[in-house]
Amino acid sequence: MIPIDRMLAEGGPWLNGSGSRADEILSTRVRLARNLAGMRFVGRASEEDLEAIFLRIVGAVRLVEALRPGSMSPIDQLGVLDRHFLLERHLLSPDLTSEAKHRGLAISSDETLSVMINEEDHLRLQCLKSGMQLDEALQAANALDDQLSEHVPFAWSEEFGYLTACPTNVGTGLRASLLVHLPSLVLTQRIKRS
Amino acid sequence: MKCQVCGEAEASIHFKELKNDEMRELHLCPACAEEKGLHGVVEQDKLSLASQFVWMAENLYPESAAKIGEIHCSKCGLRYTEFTRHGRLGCMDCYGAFDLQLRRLLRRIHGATRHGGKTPGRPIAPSGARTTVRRLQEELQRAVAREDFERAAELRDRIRVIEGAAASPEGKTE
Repeated sequence: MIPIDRMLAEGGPWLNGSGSRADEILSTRVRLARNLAGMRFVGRASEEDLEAIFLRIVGAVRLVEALRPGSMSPIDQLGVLDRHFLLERHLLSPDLTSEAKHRGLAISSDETLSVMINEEDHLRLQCLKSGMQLDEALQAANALDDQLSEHVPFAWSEEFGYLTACPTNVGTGLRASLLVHLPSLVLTQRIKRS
Repeated sequence: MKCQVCGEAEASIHFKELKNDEMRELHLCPACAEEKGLHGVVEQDKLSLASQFVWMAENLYPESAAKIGEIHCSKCGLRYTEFTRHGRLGCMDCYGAFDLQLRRLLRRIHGATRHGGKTPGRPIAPSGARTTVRRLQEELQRAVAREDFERAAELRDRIRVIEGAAASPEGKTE
């Protein structure tokens, strides 16, 4: 189970001020969307499908080196407060705070790597780092993706790339984002130059 | 800004469309937008970016919209009309079932229909000669379309160099 109490006591590692330009850029996030080959996407899946997908991914996640040491929880075994805490930690999406059955979250113990199970896509892999660390976050997310792909086949097309429920994500399934503290850019008079 | 249809009320709904390098704009008041059936798009789930792209594609090619509505995926049963409503596909086979329509959509969203990024078991960064050539060919087509022949010639030469290197026995690009 995800150690919520310990996480509460320690504070979010992505807010520890490391990484470049950490005075302006709070955090870097890279996520990859993946689906299991041959299985219906989450929005069209039956409850049995969702359970089968959940179990296959949980099995794969347990074997992945990048998530060790780490922890995993089915969402329906987390209380509402815990879910919202994970949402604030940027580890859970708003959708997963309400839709819980056959959904899951696996995180590495340093909270930088995580996998959401049965979100909009079967897998949402994420790397979250403090400050601006786009290359590092991409490399870590990429390594997690490679390791998972050794245990589960992903929906893939030579022409379109990784196949996702939403066509805006098809291809590499990658989204990279920075959380920027705008007031500090204003105070340091750098917003006009950005 | 006044509504472009009635010319009286204040326009509060704005559409921008880029087609063949030409930007078209449409500014409407809520009443005229509703009359034209456009208001629903604005009211839709704002996160559903894909469904808005679908809507735009359908409205650009209305002649085929009725026929397209009948298409469905034989694997998961999703009808194309359901996809246009929710913007989410049902399974990986939907990409084959809605191939024609999706290509149009993917071109609008991503600017291309051929994936050039990460492939399973291979790293994201190095794209390989084949992907580079593909990307250059797409760029070449765009250059020809906008009659930028200088750029087109430059791209053609680069493609020849890469293809030449790949064809030679020692040729190893990237």
